[in-house]
Parts: sequence; structure tokens; C-alpha cells
Amino acid sequence: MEKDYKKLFMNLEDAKPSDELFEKIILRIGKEERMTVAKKRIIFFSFLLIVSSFGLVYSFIAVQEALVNSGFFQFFSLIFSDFSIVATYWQNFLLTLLESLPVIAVVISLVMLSLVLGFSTFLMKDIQFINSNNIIRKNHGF
Amino acid sequence: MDFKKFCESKIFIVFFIIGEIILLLLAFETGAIVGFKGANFSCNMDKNYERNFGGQNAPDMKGAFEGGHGIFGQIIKIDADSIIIKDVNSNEKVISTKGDVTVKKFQEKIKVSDLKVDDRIVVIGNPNDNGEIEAKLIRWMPNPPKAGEQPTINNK
Repeated sequence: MEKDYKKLFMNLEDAKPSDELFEKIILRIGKEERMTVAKKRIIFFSFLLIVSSFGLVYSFIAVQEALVNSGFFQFFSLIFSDFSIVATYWQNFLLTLLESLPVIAVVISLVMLSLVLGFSTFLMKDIQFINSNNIIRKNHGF
Repeated sequence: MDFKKFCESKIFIVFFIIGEIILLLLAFETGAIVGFKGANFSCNMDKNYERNFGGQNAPDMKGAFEGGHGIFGQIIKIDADSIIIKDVNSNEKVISTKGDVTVKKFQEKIKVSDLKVDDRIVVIGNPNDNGEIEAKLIRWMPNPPKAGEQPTINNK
């Protein structure tokens, strides 16, 4: 009986892993590494997004104050109240608007806006990457 | 042609770069024109400050060039052919009312003499060599309501 078992196990072929296993393991390790990096990037970009959002709000308030103080709103309102006269002296009117435009404040707020949009894009990409990986994990049961 | 492919094509990139350069040059030229006019007006205003404001020394403008094509502020003095206005930054400017000026209050045209001290006005005009703004349009603006006060239409 014992000999029969020995014979049986001697004749059995060794279990061979599939040819794709190595590739799958390497891919999985790569994905896990990218997941770790993505998680760190999410924390980093979340922090930057919060800071830049505060900056954006502050710069918008500064632009609004600068527009009121420079008289830009009052000049601009002439388009609606005295359009025909403004059309006649459009060059003077245009120069008045340019002179009263708080350029630095507007530029700062636009930079802040582009930073917020940029950080949001990076953040969304990383969140999407992690979500798609989590779905794959759930579907494959690991 | 697919729009995405067109955007990625070399022709589009070349046109995009040329367009950016044109925009940059236009912005530079506009800045130069506005800066030159501002500097010119500030220079004339500084030269004529004593004449315009009766012997006072010109205040330090802190390097800022004042625009001479428009002003928004409160009237502090009215003369026969000029008005002195103080803007939000407490800078005083002389508005010449010698030429053809349209003065408007709401929808009606009024005379320069109808304006009063402490009235808030918006002025559009041309800077002259005396550091004054030759008014073309003067628009009377209602005073903002004080805290707790109802805004009135006929703000006299």
C-alpha cells in the first residue's frame, strides 16, 4: 500500500505556476508602488489645494476692493448709463478703464485660479487611479 | 479633420505660438501707451501743482503714475471753469470744464453750476499740458447710503 503511494507521488507532475504569474506579480508590485505614491500625492495636493483655495478667495476679495477703490466699477457703469457719449469718446473711456484696472491684483487672482485648477486636476487623477485600483481589487478578491 | 488631431498638428502649434507672440506684443504696446500717458500726466500735474493748488507743495506720489483720462471722486471746490476733485486715495485733481462738457444726473443733462461741493462724480476726459483733465463727460453719482440708512433716489 505504502509503495503504491510512493509510486503515485513519484509519477505525479510538479505543480507548475502559470507563465504569466511572474509578469502579474511584477505588475501588481508596480501598481502597489504607484498606489503608495498616489496616496502621498493626494495628501500633498490636498494641502496645496486648501492653501491655494484660501489664496484664491483672498485674492478675489482684494480684486473686488481694488476695483471699488480705483473707480473701475463706476467707470464701467458709464457703458450702461451713457453709452452714446462713451461711444463718442471711446478712446478716453478705454484708457480710463485700463488706467483704473488693478492689474497686479487681477494677475495674482488669475495665478491663484490656475493653481487651484491645476491642483484639482492632479488630485482628481490620483483619486481616479486609486478608485479604479480598488474596483479591480474588489472584483479579483484581493 | 478631427479637432483633437488639428490641435496636435504642427501647423496649429506654429499658429498658436505666433498668436501668443502677437498677444504678448499687443499687451506690451498697450502697457507702454498707458504708462507713457500716465507718466506724462503725472509729470504735468507735478509741474503745475503749485499753480493749480495755490502754493502747496506737491504730495509724494510714491512712484505711482496717475491716469489722466478719468477720475472718480468727491468735489471739494468748484470754480468758474474748473472743479477740484479728491479721489478715494485722497489725491486731488483739477477738472477743466472750459470745453464742450456733458454733465448728467440720472437721465437729465444739467449744467456744471448745478454741481455742489461734496457731490460724487465720475469724469471722462483728456489730460492737458497743465496737469488738468479736460472733461468730456461728468456723471453725477448718488452718495452711498450710510450704515442703517435707506438709500434715496433723489440724493441731494
